[in-house]
Amino acid sequence: MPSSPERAEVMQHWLGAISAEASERGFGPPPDPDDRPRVDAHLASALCPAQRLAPGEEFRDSARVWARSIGLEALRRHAAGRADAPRDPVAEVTDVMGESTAHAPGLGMWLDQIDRAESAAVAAAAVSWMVDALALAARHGEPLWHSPTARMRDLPSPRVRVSARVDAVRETTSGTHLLVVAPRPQGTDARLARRVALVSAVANGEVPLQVHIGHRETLTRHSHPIGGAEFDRAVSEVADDIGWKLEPSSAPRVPGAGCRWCPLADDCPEGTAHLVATRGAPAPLWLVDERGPGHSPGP
Amino acid sequence: MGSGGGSAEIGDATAVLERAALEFRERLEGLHGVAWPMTVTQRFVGSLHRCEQQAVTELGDFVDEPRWDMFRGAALDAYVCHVIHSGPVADPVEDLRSFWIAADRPSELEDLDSLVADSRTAGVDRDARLADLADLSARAGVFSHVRSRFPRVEVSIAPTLAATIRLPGRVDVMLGGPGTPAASVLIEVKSGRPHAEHTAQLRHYLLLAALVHGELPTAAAVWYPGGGEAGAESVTLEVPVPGAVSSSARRVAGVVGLLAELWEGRVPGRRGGPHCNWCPLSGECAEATVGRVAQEAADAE
Repeated sequence: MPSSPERAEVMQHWLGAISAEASERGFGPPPDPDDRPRVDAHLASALCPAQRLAPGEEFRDSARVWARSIGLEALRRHAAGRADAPRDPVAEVTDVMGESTAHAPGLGMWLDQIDRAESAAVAAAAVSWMVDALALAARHGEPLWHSPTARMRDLPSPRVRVSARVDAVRETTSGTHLLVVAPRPQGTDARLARRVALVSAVANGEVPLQVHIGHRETLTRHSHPIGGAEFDRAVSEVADDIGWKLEPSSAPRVPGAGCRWCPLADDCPEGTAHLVATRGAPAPLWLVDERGPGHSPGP
Repeated sequence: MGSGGGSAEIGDATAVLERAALEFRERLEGLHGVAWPMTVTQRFVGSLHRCEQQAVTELGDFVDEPRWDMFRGAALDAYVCHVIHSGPVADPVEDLRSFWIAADRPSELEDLDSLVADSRTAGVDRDARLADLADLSARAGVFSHVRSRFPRVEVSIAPTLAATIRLPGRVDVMLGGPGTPAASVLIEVKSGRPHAEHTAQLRHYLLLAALVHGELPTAAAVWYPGGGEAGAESVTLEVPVPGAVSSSARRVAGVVGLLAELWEGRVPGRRGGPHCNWCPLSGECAEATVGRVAQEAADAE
């Protein structure tokens, strides 16, 4: 593990690299001078950056939103206090949900308000997240579970905050491995891995040896070695994302399965062309539909 | 963990499916609009075996009208989850509403309003529906016994074959499995009467779980709570026997082959049967008449 001065050096180096890249592109200030837009690694995993940045519905607490935070907290508690006891995910999630003061303020307040039926939906999602994370991470013994809070760093210029979520860390003699739990394999996984590594460098001064993206749906884990080339690409990519975040209309539009539900559909020639082409094609083309047919639960 | 068996059979099944997926990709590579991996659901696999035309039609913009029998199924899934995580259901309607709000399920909430809360349609007996939901929620109480068996609900599993075909499935209840110290058992929850297609679904999910977990689940079961027209409570149990996973894999590989033919322009075949009752084309399809006659004859027996 690197010493504090080494970490500080890493942070400064990559902060400087991002600032230099951003400066070269000549970004203006955020639209709201009091605001510090957050450029999260979530954007790095978007198949269509324009869609990801489109104004969505108002934020609403839900089981899906908070499953990771609760599941991860339950994993941390177990590792910290009862590592020798048999693990019971249902009981551990129930315990964590009962301690509303232990969570981020938004989550704690929401947990205080919800009724038993809402709690059941939340607990179910959190238990599933927790068990999948265990299945993905614990093949070589349990790792160090990360705090639910994202790694983040405010950039001096442009005035944005970069962030990335990390779910587990494993230190080995050869270096640091980070795990990110994702729903399913995506073509953007390598980009996400590079971003997580870069944010870890500027936030913690940590240069991971590998970033592993674990996929809940397939219980597969893809390892992405991190080196100088990956960092260089990540710097360029985060500069792209900063530009798109500051001016969403500049974000590229990538037609695909998401076009059918995209809020930009009425104002997107690329998406419209894609929809027209697939609508005019034989019906099986609907199989490219991300959700797939047949969502109604069987009787 | 797990039954630990079946690795050779799972390897064979994977090989069969990957071969079919790669052949599929070779045939369709370069066609406009094809994105990989392509999603093929269990419902589509079953539907294509029944009637190709209906399967293809339902892939379009066909939207299901809310149906009471489907709604009961969704409600039962929610009740089971409630029992496992929060104990008995107190209010079968308001607990459903709360559950689906937290689970972010807007379409189920809409159906709840149209089929139960606001049901003023002629011929709809609201009290009977409320009683039905109360009965279902009480029957879901048996799931209080699985709380110590590492239960999870609505578990998504989706093996992807050769980065080409994604086979998504959502198991209603999974006991144990990877990430827990117990072997996995899959449970499907069905609010209607036992049906052969449920067994096919169960075998399909056994295949998916085997591919994702790398080992055979110990068992899979369909639980029917029964009640009313659904008859008595019952359980259909499926223990993976040698060859079962390979057989399911060949069934899916066959569907992948059919799908390639359809995509290349073959006219979908039509086959009448009970499924014609919910087919959007039934009014204009000669085979639908044959199917209805067959169904009426079966019902008369």
